[in-house]
Amino acid sequence: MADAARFEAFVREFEDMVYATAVRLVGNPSDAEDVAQTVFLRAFERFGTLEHQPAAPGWLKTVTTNLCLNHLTRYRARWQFFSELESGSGAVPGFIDRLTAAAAVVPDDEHSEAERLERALQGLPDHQRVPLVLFHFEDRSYQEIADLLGVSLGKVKTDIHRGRDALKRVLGERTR
Amino acid sequence: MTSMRDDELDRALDRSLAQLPAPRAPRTLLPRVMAAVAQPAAPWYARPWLSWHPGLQTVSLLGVLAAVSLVWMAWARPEAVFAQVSAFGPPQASTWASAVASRVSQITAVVSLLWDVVLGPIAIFVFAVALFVALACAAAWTAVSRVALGGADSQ
Repeated sequence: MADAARFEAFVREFEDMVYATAVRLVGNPSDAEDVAQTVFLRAFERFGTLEHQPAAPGWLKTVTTNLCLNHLTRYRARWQFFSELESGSGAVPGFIDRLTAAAAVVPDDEHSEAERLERALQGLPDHQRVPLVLFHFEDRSYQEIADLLGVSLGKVKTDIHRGRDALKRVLGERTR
Repeated sequence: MTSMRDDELDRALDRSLAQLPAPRAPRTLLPRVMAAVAQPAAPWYARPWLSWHPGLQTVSLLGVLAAVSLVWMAWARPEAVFAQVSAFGPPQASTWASAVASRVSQITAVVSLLWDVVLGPIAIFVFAVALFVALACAAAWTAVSRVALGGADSQ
């Protein structure tokens, strides 16, 4: 019983961090909740050693990232297919417009600016969002991202650049 | 002018991303996790084989290999195998083993006859057709992958 209470406190402490990483990587709240639950179940299996370790947050982040990438792997062919399409003919037609429109759904006040950006970030296609999130929020280097995703360094740079372009478009719409 | 605006947007984006608050976990997450934790874990043999301990995986593989070898040897030389088995058992086992060996010999003889007369002659054609279909599927998938997906699946 005491174990359960301690584990509950552990989950409370890290649930936001795990969920934030997951939702930004998979771009879908319900999938992110599934991933977060799996992460905590894995943590429970080794709670005895993990509980008092200062490396626990790092362990949780690593497991979350790996599980998210596993989750996205089943869409990998499609992910790379659209990435190739884009590199051949510029942006996917209409994608930026849809992204801007989706971000504009939220009322335009001070508080909603972050929500607009968050929504636009989660609305990016997987092949742009994943490296961008790993770079900006997980502090991974380009090379680490390339190794993690099993793609070339150039592809990582291009995808992050395109993702940033799409987000800048959303920011530009706001500041216009 | 465009470049300057682009630089401003770059800086604004970096600032905004750095200040972006982390999404909060939904209220349902904690109860879900605690409910899942409270459920008794399935015994090891009821879990998927891939999630077993590596030692258990090795032992189970060796067990399957031993069973297959035994069946193979019993098929090839039933009397010898059952004689070996009965040597380790009580005296009654010897009678039982020879009866079983005799029955297995009869069955293998019938199956061998069926193979030689009915299945053997067409087996090579069935194998050739299966090989041809497999190669055709592989060629078709490679063509689709290269032409339609631009080789995306192999990257």
